[in-house]
Amino acid sequence: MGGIALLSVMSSLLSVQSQEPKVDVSLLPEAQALASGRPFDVVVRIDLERPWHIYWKNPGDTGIPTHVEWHLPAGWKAEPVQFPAPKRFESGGTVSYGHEGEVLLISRLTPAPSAKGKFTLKASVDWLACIEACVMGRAEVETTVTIGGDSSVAGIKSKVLEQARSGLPKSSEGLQVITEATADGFRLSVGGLPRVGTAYFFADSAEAVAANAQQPLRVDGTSVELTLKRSPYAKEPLAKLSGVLLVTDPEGKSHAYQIESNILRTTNGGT
Amino acid sequence: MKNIIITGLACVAAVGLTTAWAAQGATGTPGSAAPAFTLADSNGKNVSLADYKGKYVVLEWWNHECPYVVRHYGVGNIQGLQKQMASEGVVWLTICSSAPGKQGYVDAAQANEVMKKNAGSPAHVLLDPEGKVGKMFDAKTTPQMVLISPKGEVVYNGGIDNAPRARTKEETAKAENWLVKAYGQHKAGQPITNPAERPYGCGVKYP
Repeated sequence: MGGIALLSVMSSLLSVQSQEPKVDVSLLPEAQALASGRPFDVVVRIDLERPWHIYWKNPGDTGIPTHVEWHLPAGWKAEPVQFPAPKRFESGGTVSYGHEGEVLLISRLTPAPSAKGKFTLKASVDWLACIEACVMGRAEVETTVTIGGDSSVAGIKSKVLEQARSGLPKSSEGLQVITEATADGFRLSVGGLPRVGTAYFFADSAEAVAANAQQPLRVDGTSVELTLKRSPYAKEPLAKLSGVLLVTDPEGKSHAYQIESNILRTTNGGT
Repeated sequence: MKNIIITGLACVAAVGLTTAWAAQGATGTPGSAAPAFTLADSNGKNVSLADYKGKYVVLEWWNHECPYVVRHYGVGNIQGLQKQMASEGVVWLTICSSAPGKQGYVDAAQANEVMKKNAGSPAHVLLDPEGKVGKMFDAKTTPQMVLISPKGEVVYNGGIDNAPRARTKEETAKAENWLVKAYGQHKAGQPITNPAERPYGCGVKYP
């Protein structure tokens, strides 16, 4: 609760226009009763008043990633949070990556091998919410699950989990992905897509691609080639490029893919 | 606004001020010559970067309403750095690139009032309501820090430290401060190991 007290102090230090978004955060396990010893998913639902946005795991030029910190019973484990495919937010020449409205993150937990009975799972969720102004937010949330309970209800997945999964980028299986180093960045070619109208690449890391650089593209039916500029915060040469390719087909429907490939270096590729 | 004089390279940078200004060869990258600029300070005096040739100069992007700036000032971190740098003869210029009506915008009187209330001690608070100098230096967030060498070369441009999630004074104090690190290395004639770290915080509130 220390976090909440601090938040209110910070809020009071804020401007006269101390306008803040309404945010409702909840933890929604895939089921209340779960099988022993098996990993299960919890949806972290952040319902954010529009038109505010919070940030993706790579926030782009500004902001900081939305963060979930679990406080779990001894022996439990949490995998990194899975984020839905991001959107671009542009303001005054900076480009940020984030989410608005109902944001559904997925966190996979593994109970301790010996865990049996009722458990309270707690998490601290924090974010930066911006429109023009930015406001920090934090919520302490919890939920209860029963491990090794009634096996007839164990394993029934919640609707909200289905919904959260449908928002994740799809696997790149079946796509042909090639990344080449160029003098000042990368050339990303992806084939085997639905018919491409337009496309945009969200790098997983702010230290890979400059978020505010344009991404000139060449479309050839179901293939696309994007020219990406290296991030000014890039470290030593990257071995792999990974991120979400968002393709909009000519009918305006969006398709997001999680892609990753080794970076090919030719003699004139200086990256 | 008429007393803002942008000279030299600024005009070159301004050509690229489309949606992707950084992509089109923004100046202010580490290892390059710092672009010349002149801005009015909060006492109505014109201040030029060229005035400080031969000295280290720190540029601090500032939006006093941004929660990250509130945190760094709230725990005394930036004020401490300002004092420490001043004692070493480093010139600290705090720059406000918020546009009128946007978060963190201050006029001259407000700039003095807020800085006094925060017990900050920069050499000058510079007013950049059109965001021109911000864009020249590719300033993306508040806070963001730039270090310029006595020869006028950009040594560091990026985030203040490696602890975006820090909240308390203790957590902030434990962070690795990129500005201090780059300054120490440059002064000792060592290579700069972290010349550009991703800045974190609120986007600069450009027009």
